[in-house]
Amino acid sequence: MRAAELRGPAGMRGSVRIDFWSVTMAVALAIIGLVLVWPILQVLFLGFFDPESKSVSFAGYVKVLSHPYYLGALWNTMLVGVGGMVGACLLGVPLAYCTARYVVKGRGVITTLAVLALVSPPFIGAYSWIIVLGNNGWLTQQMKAIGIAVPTIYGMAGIILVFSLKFFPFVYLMTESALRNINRSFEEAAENLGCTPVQRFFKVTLPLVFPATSSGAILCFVLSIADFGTPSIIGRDFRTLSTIAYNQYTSEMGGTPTMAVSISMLMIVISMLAVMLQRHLLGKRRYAGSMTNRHVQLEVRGWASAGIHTLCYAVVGLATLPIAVVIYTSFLQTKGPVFSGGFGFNSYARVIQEVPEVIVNTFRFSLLATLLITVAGGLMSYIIVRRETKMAGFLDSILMVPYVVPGVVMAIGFLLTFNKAPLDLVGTGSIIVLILFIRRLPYGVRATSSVLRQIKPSIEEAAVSLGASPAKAFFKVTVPLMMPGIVAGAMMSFITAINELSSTLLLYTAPTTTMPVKVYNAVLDGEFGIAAALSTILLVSSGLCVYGVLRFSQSKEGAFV
Amino acid sequence: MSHVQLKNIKKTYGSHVALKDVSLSIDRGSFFTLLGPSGCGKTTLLRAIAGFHQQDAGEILLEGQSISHLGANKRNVGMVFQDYAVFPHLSVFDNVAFGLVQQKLPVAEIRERVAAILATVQLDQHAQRMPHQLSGGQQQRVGLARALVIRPKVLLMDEPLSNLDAKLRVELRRDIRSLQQTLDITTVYVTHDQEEALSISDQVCVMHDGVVQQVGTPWIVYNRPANRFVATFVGSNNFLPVALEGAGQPLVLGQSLAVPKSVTSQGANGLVASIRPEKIVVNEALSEPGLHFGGVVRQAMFTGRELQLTIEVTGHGLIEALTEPSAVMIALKPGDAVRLGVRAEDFLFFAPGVSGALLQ
Ligand SMILES: Nc1ncnc2c1ncn2[C@@H]1O[C@H](COP(=O)(O)OP(=O)(O)OP(=O)(O)O)[C@@H](O)[C@H]1O
Ligand SMILES: [Mg+2]
Repeated sequence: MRAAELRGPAGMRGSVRIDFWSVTMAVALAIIGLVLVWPILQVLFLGFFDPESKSVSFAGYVKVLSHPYYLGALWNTMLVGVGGMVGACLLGVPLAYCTARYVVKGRGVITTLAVLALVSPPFIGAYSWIIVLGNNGWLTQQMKAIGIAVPTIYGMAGIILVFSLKFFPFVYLMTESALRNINRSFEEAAENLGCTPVQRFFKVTLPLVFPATSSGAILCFVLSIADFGTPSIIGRDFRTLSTIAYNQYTSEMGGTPTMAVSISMLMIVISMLAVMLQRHLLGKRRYAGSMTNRHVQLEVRGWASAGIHTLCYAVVGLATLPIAVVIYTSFLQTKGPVFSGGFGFNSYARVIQEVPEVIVNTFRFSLLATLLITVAGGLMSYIIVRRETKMAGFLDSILMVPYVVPGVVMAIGFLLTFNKAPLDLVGTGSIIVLILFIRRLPYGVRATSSVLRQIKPSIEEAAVSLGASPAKAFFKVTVPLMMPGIVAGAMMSFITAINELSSTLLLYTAPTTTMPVKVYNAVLDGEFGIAAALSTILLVSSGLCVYGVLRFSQSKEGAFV
Repeated sequence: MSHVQLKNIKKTYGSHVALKDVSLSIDRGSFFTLLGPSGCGKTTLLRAIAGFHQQDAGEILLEGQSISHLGANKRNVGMVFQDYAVFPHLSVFDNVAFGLVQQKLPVAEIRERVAAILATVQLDQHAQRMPHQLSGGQQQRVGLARALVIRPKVLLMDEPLSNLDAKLRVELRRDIRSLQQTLDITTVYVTHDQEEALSISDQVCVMHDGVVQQVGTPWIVYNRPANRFVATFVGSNNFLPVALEGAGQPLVLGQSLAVPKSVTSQGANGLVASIRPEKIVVNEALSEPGLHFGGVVRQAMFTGRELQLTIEVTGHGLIEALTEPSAVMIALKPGDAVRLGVRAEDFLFFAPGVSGALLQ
């Protein structure tokens, strides 16, 4: 585009005119309409469609809300959602309190391990715990040898265990930064007014970090009920809405997927209710951090210190255990699908020989999606932050939607939308790139807009008053200043894209298989060696990106939540 | 000749009227200051001239040509920002060169002009530094150099000194004024510091609630405030109610006073007389006609340059007086009785109401 043709100070004129930002806005809305709103509306409407009488009916929704099979899955979903959330809080809040308030050696290590647990492929938790605590698990065998029966890992308990350990870093990172930002004077005042340390924690500290902790907790809940890989690997007969939505869809294939979409809508509604509940609880409770009286970390000695360190390292140790298990397993010697004892690179050799294309696919799709997210996310965040129009507000709200739409549901929407000319994308790589794009776009927008909010608008106005057009001022002054945020956001998008399973599992075909899909299928086929080798490749890629994010982002851990 | 002309500018934010029908005419080469309390619309007006937002109605003329339709990047007005807005990713040199690069000038000329302006603002030593290596005052000099180097037709400044400490503020304000006079550049300056406005300006424009209250030289605005708002906002003032006797003879502090015809012809109640604290003489006789009255010191504050006295005038409430801090005066304590005097010609009279007009 020629900058000279783009005119009119952005956001500063009342009249509607065709300038760079209006065009961008229109394009943004068109894209969101096509790949977000339309697929979801398809899901919504199809739920009202009765395939037999070919007419409008509520039968699908009625059945979901009355049939014991679906009600059971709904109940199970709520159980693991709440269980995962509570577990994450029980791990995350004490850990946050320890690292925020006491001198803990290796705080950087703890944070890094927590972040690694967060960005590791979501499904490796499930199968690693099977390797450790499953029927033939390593620890199960050891315990059996000395006569202790280990409770079964399959079913609800295992799912909640995996979710708690997988998602607690959200609660931990958010609570920790909130704890650090509380003005110490509040707590000193409480103490001065006669509170014991315990009372002080419950009466002052906890209410003050509640907004942050509850945001983290709700995220855990929403991700727990949307997760597909974990319940389907470790759940056995324990069905959740996302596993039955997937099963229904694959069994209704060819017919009208009324039941699958009805379940999908139910999942969206639950996520939305959860988010709304949290907003309601939060109300006007937003406390601006004032940094006049910062906390210092207390030095503790002896037993107290040992206790604190044990707690911290036990939590992050358990959370990263799956990572260690996967890497260890990937180097075990195999013969066909069975482990033959000793170490070797057999699994990697098999990956390279048998499925090299899944690696290529994953990186190709993810890089393309990341590129799209970076460009679109950068421009959209500018519109949201700097143009205070109704449309910008609308864009901001609509970008909340992907947070509450589970991957399985989004995939069903895509299959319903992009299945006929001129947009017949089913089975292509494009549909996978598109779904990665729309599912991760909000995270990209959030990463860049938080950086943008710290750049004063006067910087850009100065450039305009010196003769630069609004578009040129944006690219010459604002973009360079946003660059660290853009890079960190892109890396985060890339991490989540390469690890995506719940949506791609419905969309892939043999030539467009990705690494997580292959890992999932390999686990189901008992090919643990290949699964571990592929997971290790994913882990190392994610780890490298984490390193990049930490380098480029100013708020460090904040970039991950 | 008027260089910048504003005609009937209106601007609303939602239902809030920020500018109500503002018309101004600014002379070529003059230093024109917008002065007023927070929220009165100074920034809004300045940004309309800069082109950062469009006025809802009215016309802005520069050298007789309307610029209302031009974008901010086409107006050729320089802007200095309150928060400096120095590009943090560019060196001092590149910051200042930004506008010239924008104009695609030859490199040699850019170098020359940037060097010259940096020398003028005494930053030639720091050309290669990054903004975070500069103090606040130095950053604002960069902002000033950057705005001036493009040779704008008008220079706009929105409280450029308000983030600096008091001493630096006075120093930089001298520099700005002498630079403006050397370059003979028309300047519109925004401040809510009335001392700054009086000391730096050719013309002061006092605003209140989006309405221009008075435009005049600093001397006029201070000594002949157009209405009670200006008299209150610029400098400090004592306001005393004026009572009218049966025959229409006005009384101030219970004593009759010779006043202009326009005052007596008002006739109504609610007239107000004002007297500046520094015009009140303490324990001294007046050589000219005026009022003498007694009071009791309630508070005495020594500020270094002067002594501020709060005095209860027997039967008439509190008034403020400023005197030289002589040894005799410094000895005054709360409770001491004093004699006060005011020359008749130092009184000003205002029509009723908080923004009542000056009666000549
Ligand atoms: N973007 C906006 N939206 C709504 N109202 C605004 C906006 N900008 C300014 N206002 C309102 O318009 C009025 C004038 O604002 P303006 O910024 O011009 O004041 P000001 O005289 O510069 O004050 P200050 O000395 O505090 O900078 C204020 O009442 C302000 O609340
Ligand atoms: Mg202002």
